[in-house]
Amino acid sequence: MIEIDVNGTAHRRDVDPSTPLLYVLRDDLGLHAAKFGCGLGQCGACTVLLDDQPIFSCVTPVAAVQGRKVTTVEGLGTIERPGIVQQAFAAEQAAQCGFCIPGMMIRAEALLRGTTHPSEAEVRDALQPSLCRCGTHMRILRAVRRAAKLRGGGVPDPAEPIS
Amino acid sequence: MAAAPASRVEPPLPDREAAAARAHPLGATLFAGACTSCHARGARMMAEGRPPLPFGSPLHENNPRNTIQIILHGLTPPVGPSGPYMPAFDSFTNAQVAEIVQYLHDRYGTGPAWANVTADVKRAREGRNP
Repeated sequence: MIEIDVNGTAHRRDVDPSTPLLYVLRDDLGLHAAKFGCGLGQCGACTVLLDDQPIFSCVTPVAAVQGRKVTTVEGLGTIERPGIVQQAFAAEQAAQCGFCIPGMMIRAEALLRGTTHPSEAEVRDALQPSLCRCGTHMRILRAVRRAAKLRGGGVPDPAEPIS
Repeated sequence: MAAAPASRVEPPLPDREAAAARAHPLGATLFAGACTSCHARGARMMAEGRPPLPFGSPLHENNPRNTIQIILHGLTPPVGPSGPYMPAFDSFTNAQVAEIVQYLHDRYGTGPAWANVTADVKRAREGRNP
């Protein structure tokens, strides 16, 4: 029997301890924000927070997260009361297909828990492990800047390179 | 075609899977959940011709430092050509990383046993490895 704390709720499930956390979240707990992309820890669609650190849940066995706090996008807010990162991503229309967005939001959340005044380079560095194939990176970056502002901070002069 | 001379035939690589799992059950569990999607026989990466774990040198060295560094920091291919990539597994605790390292060495390694692995993981995480 495995005990895990997800979004502040303790769950007990009879799963093999080597099962990747992502499968338990999606298949056993019905939390579908984190996505299966590559299954190899390369694309970032499965990213969730472990304590305050973003992890690839597709290559994290559930045995490794016992006694620690897992946070998914469902834990950042609700449709009625979206969290700050969710508000910012919606306001900037950051999603195109949307598959990478939960991972991007989790990485933004992790960054902004550490600092509300990240540099542009820190924002890009924080999001780098998550891949977006639609090409909405500029909107995603704007969403993170907006979220920083909503949290009482900000990201100084982005000066985006022309591309 | 004639067979290669006996001296040119590589000895079979060790794979002490069952014994390693008995000695380090947590390491075996973590390896199964974190590593086998790339490193198991028949995994996608293996099908692309990447070498199996015991072909690399880290598990045959006198100390676990390189193995630990690869797990904690992953591997990044050089800019330009595509190359092998491995994500960092730095969210594991020191004890969990040590379990994986010891499981790997028991299963595939050669050379002297690795002692005090948890302390080495702690040093590596703090950037204090010699």
